[in-house]
Amino acid sequence: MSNNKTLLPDVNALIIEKLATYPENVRELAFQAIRLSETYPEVAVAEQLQSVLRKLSRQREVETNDTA
Amino acid sequence: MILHKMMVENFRQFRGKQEIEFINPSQDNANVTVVFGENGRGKTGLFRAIMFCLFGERRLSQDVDVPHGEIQIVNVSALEANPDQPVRTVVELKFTHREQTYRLRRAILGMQDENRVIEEEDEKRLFVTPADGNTQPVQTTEIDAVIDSILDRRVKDYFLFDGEKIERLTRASIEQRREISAGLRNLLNVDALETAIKAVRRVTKSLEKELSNSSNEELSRLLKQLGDNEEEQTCSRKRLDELADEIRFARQEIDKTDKALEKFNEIRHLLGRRKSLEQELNDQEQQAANALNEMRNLVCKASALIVAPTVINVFEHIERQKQKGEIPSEIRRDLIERILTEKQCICGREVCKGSDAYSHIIDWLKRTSDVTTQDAALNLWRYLSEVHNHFNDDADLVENRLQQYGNIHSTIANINRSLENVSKQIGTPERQDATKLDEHRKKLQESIIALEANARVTQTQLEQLQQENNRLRALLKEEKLKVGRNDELSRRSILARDTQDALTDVYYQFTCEIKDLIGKSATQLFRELLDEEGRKNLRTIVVNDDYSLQVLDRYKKPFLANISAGQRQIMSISFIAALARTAARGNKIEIPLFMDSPFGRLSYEHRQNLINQVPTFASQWILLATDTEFRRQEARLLKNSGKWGKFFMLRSTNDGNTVIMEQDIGSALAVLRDKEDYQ
Repeated sequence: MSNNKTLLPDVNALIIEKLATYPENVRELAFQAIRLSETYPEVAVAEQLQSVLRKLSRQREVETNDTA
Repeated sequence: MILHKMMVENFRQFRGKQEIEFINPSQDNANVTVVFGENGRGKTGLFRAIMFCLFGERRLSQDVDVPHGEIQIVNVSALEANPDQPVRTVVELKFTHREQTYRLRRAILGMQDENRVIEEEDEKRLFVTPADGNTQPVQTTEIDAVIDSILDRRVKDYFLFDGEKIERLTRASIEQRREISAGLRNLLNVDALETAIKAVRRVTKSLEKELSNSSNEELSRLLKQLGDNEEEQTCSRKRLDELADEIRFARQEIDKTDKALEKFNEIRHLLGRRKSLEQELNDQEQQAANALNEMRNLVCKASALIVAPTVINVFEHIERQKQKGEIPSEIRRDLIERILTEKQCICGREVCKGSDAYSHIIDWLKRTSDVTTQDAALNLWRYLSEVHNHFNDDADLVENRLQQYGNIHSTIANINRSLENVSKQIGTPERQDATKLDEHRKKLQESIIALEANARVTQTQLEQLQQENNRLRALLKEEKLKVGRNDELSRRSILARDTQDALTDVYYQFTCEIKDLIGKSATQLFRELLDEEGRKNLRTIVVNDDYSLQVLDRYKKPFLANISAGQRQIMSISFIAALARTAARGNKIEIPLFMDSPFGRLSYEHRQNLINQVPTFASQWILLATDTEFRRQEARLLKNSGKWGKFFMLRSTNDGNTVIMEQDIGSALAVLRDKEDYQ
């Protein structure tokens, strides 16, 4: 069964719009957290976010090194 | 969710299989289905059937006073006709939601066992047919979760409701408000955001814990301070929530007390009179006690009054002697005695024994007392003269006090008579206890003042903690950057905390905007639905932080406690509509409005406004109405709106059951009665 509880069709767009003023990596992590939270409970979301964080952190490191 | 069909079998008044096919708004312009029936024909039975099928609930919110086990849903005639056989009761609902068709079926088995009926769940099944037509059953354990994902049971009362009870939404208990608030957050998708914040916070904590074990001393110290600060903030917030709950509870208690006191309205003036008489009695008894004390102090002086007649007698006797010149005597005794011895007067004249002059002098001697006695008598006269004057003053004082005391006693007797009279008029002891309710109310008000003061102090502490938190965060970020230029753990930790802050800000902005939107939308509709008189006084609906409602009057003062039950009903419906509009981002929300007898308390103008407005904001309106609330006037209005699609009548059969009969709308006007028929 797909999750049908989202009655606000553009709620994610609304939140992304509000997150627009934050740095890209913050935006990405926040969006992933919301997306996962629509399906999984808190603990599971936290576990999955650890790997997202690692990925974002490494990306950032590569970008910083490239810039350097 | 759009309801298409409901089938009931042996459910309450409905014997055998019966069906209602609701108007399908996606196929027709119309979206209103009216189920009409006089009282006792089974309108609430249908409402109960839908709640039973969707949520397995056999009790409705209106059943609070009915003992558990007394609500029977199996049809009585069917049970009587099959005394030794179980009777199957079924409710089946067909509905669509997000382009999928659902068929939900719930059944119970009922069996007559001597004087009671045993009802046991028999079947719960859900089938889903997506657009491709491939129907799939849903696992029994998943059914409730699927239904909740379509219509959260915590907010079901906002969409499926008993019209007369809907106004309860404006005065829900703390527990209900929490449930409603959670349900609304879910409906508005805020709960996903909340879970996201909690999950990111969890990640941040875990990273910072790791960091504090492996980093420099300054970083560890800052992390420890920040941890303590956040813990204190959590405690303060918890305390604020508790205080808010306590304040709400006290307010609810005041509401309850006011309601209880309403019963005593007729004797309220007597209770007030009794209270003032009791106060007066208390004052008078105090005055009587004071007067008695003063009289006790007067006793030493007043005791002399007992001998007053004797004293006055003596005084007057001496006074008389004084008047006669006997005291003091005109001629001193020693001078008279010398004249008699020398037989010569002080003028030189001879006084011979036996002469008239001698006899006069002897008389004088007899009347003259000695000097010591005279002096004593004069002293006594002077003393008695003083005492005599005091006697008058003291006697006046004593008389005055006695009179005062007597007056007080007579006032006390009068008050006691009045009290007895008032108590007789008040009547039974239960009525007499009403004053205790007043005292209880006063105590509650005092406790609210104390709690609010406590909440202000806690709020200030929280603000100070927040300022300290901002300072610590800035220092921590600086330190992490120093340490973490080459440290991945620090980078992750910074990103996690920044994301936590960002999500918290977004959550705050989002919920404020949503509440504001709901409030504005509810206000707009409220004013459209209200009658002219209501519009004059009631201006704004405010959605509180816990999603409870308040209405402000034209002076922007809270006015909820003073509005009528009908206005509360209108307010609740406006809120529901606003919620639906907001949740659907201005479109029609795909949830039916299922209203059981909503017009009972409403004036014709309110009904008119509802009939015109509800079909415009609800995707589907199922209206269960009785003969006194849905008359030709209302039917004409609904017909003219072009939104009325189907009409069902509930008719009684000879065996006390009900049959559902569909009729065309044209014939409905012939069946219904005019307003004048009820006058």
